[in-house]
Amino acid sequence: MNVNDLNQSEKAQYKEVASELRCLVCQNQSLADSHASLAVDLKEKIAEQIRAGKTSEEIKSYMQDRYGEFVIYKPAYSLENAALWLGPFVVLVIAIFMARKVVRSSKVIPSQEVPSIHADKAWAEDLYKRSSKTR
Amino acid sequence: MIKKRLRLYLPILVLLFLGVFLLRGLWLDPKKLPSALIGKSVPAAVLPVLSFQGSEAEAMQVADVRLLQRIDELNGQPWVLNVFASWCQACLIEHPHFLELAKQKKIRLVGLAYKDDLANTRRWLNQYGNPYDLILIDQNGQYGIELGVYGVPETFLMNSKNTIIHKQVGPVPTDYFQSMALPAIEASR
Repeated sequence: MNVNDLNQSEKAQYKEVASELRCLVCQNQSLADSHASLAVDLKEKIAEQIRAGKTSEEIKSYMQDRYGEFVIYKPAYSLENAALWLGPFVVLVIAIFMARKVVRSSKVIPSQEVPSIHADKAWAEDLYKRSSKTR
Repeated sequence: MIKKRLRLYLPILVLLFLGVFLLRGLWLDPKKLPSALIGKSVPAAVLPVLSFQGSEAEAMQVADVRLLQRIDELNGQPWVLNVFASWCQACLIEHPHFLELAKQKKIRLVGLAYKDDLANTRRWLNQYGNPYDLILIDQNGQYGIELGVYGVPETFLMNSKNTIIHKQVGPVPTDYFQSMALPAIEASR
């Protein structure tokens, strides 16, 4: 059983599944990209199972049962993978927090200059206007 | 003041924190994956047995993998399945260790000739010695897929209930039986 024995829609499913599974021999390639002997065998297996009417999910879990979660390119949403999925967002929140702090502290510097009386007056008026608006 | 000093050291602390992970990464082998089959029964299959009688004796006998434990005096004992091939260079590294283990007769050794030409398998065994009590044949790698084999050699250890309790990818160390097999067997009791 080979890809070429599949019909058009089966081929589309084959492509999708083979590109979402990792080749275990050359680990940074998907099965679709790999020509390793094991990858060829596994691709035949995929073709067979597609012909047998298996869904993409069934084929992927077939592979996962034998080779472990590592074969799946997209890790599952599980507690063990929480750091993987949530980590980037945690880092983003920290980054935003730190950026705000930096921006705020740089704003303080101009106020440390000795203000002229005119500037002082404008500042007071501005403050007055703003506080009356919020009331 | 303390806060300011802490800030000064923060980059160093972050760097050290990262360093610990990166350092650990240096000793991690990305080729070694945890087996999905640990704790599961050895996959069922009836496989041909390699015979040595005459060069034309193409494997006619067959063996049921799950019934191997029932044969002769090793009844119900743990056993080892070693996936090997004559084309596999790394297999020669571990081969002497299996020959030694076979001499001591501590555990049943079953070989699985993986995607190999049978004439080559026989020649290889004649040349380097045969440590196996029995050799099964997986000529098209189908049983290998069931076992999740992705690199030869691989060595599986089954307990007395045919459950896979240990898997070694790549050549086994000299003291495989003492350092890996025995602790796994003890732990599964």
